[in-house]
Amino acid sequence: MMLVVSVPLHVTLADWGSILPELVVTGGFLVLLLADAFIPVRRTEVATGIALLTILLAFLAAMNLWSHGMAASLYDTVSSDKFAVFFDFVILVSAALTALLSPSYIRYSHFDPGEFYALILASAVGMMFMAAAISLMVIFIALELLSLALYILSGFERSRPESQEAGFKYFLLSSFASAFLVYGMAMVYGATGTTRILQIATCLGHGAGCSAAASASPLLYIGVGLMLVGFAFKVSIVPFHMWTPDVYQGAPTPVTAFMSVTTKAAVFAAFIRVFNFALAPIESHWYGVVWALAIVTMVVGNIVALVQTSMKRLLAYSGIAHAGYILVALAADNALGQTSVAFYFLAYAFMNIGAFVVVAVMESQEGPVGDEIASYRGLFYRNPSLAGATAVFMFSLAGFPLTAGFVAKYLAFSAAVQAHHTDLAIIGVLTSLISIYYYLRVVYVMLRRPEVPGVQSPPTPAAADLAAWIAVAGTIGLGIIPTGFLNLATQSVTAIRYIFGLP
Amino acid sequence: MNPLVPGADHFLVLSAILFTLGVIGVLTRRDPLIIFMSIELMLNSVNLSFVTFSHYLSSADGQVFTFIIMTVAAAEVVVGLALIVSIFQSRQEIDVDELDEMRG
Repeated sequence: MMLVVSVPLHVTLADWGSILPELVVTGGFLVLLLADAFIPVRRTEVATGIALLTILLAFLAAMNLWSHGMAASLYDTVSSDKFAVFFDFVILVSAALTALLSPSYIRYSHFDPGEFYALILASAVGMMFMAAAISLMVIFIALELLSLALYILSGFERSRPESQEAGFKYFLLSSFASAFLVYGMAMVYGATGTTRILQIATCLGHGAGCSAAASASPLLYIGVGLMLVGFAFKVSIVPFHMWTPDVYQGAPTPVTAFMSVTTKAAVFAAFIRVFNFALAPIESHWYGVVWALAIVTMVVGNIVALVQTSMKRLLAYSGIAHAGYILVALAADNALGQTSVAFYFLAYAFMNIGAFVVVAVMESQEGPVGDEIASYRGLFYRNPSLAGATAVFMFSLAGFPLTAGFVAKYLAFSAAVQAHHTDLAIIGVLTSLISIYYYLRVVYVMLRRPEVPGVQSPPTPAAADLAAWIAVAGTIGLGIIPTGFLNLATQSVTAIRYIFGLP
Repeated sequence: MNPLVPGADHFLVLSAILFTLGVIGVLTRRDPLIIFMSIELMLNSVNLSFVTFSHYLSSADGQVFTFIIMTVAAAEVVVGLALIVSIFQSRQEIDVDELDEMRG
């Protein structure tokens, strides 16, 4: 039987230009690997420098792409619209903060800086492609690229059994979820006859370009369900969140910091493209399930976080709760909802990585007990600036006004109200109130008098200090004057909605 | 439809059976290598679905997707076995129930 190839087989220079940020990061990844093999770059500073330079160049390439993006390139599989570029910014900012917080931790746990940064960059390439993907194939391959690098990174601290365990658990459970995702993609392909998101949207919306029965096919609905399981697992939505606390606790802290923000950002970008655009015509069928998942995630995440004694586990459950808030915005399925998801991740990058910077500094100064919330006792007296930064991140994660977290949550819940899903907004606000308890408990512990008075912490390493200050500036800046960045997020959503013919 | 001539349905049902066997394997077995093989079985059952759809829809996308899944599965083997070997070197046992350093 003849197979139909629907696109002309040639790739222009403009196609390559549309993935320039990804290519730059891939280049940086190769340079780091080669440098690691040929010159003995055991020096952490050199590897950090190469990584930061790569991220800076990719950032410039992404800025250039902001105004020159293409709606579809490389045989309609990758889009460099403003939505993709906005997520590139989030991923690159997170990678830069991670590169700044890592050196002190690398020295503390003695691992190879070259391979470490190479894997961080490899994973970032996968994330950027995932945010840009407009084909189910590219979503899958990008997801695997980012995951494979993260499996290795989670188990990178081979001397620590917890790290090995984290890498292995993440690997087994995540590949299990990938199999569900890709089986779902097969079903959707079977029902619609295409793997391209734009064509799936046209097929389901107007019945054009595929059999008219596609939107009534049971294959489609089984496929959508399986894909939802796959996506829900990757962004740790309850009941697919079981791996999250263990992996976050076991993985090296810089890796946890990086993956907690960027994996969620990349997967949510693809989640939005698939569910809010390709599957928008059948929204009434998936809305109920997403509604239930959002509620369970917000409730379970916030309640289980109340009893945590480890800072990394606390932040893991906090991350689950935040995935729930973002899912509320996704369920709203309107322009404001999509804008709030984009803005949420920018805010989340600063406040969540900031919180992990503190954990990494504490661990490199005090050893493994630095992860225990109890060891934060008296931090205000030992290291006032670090404690002040921690307080800012905790207030922002809890959603206090004048912080980035407040604006992000406000937008997400108002999107739900605008879409007449007031129930989701109310549950979101109520569960946020619960979260104030565990975030402020950290601040309270820091304010208690230390057991041994008068002891000062060693000074915070310069790079980690810089990362913490950038994160504080971002958290407060986005909270006080969100307009500029909100405008960028709105523009990015307008661009993607225009491509799919939505107002 | 002549029941003796296999059609799309037969292949899809076979694929669903293989996928389910893979899921059962992952959920019930305790040896990481067997769990790992079960995940590979799940991925290969997906390949069968893709090839079936590709054939009956006369569309090349499914064939390309199959190649991508095969490549990804190979990469997963490399990373997965490396992680298993690394754990085995430090503990001399690889029962997943023993991997319980952290509450979870």
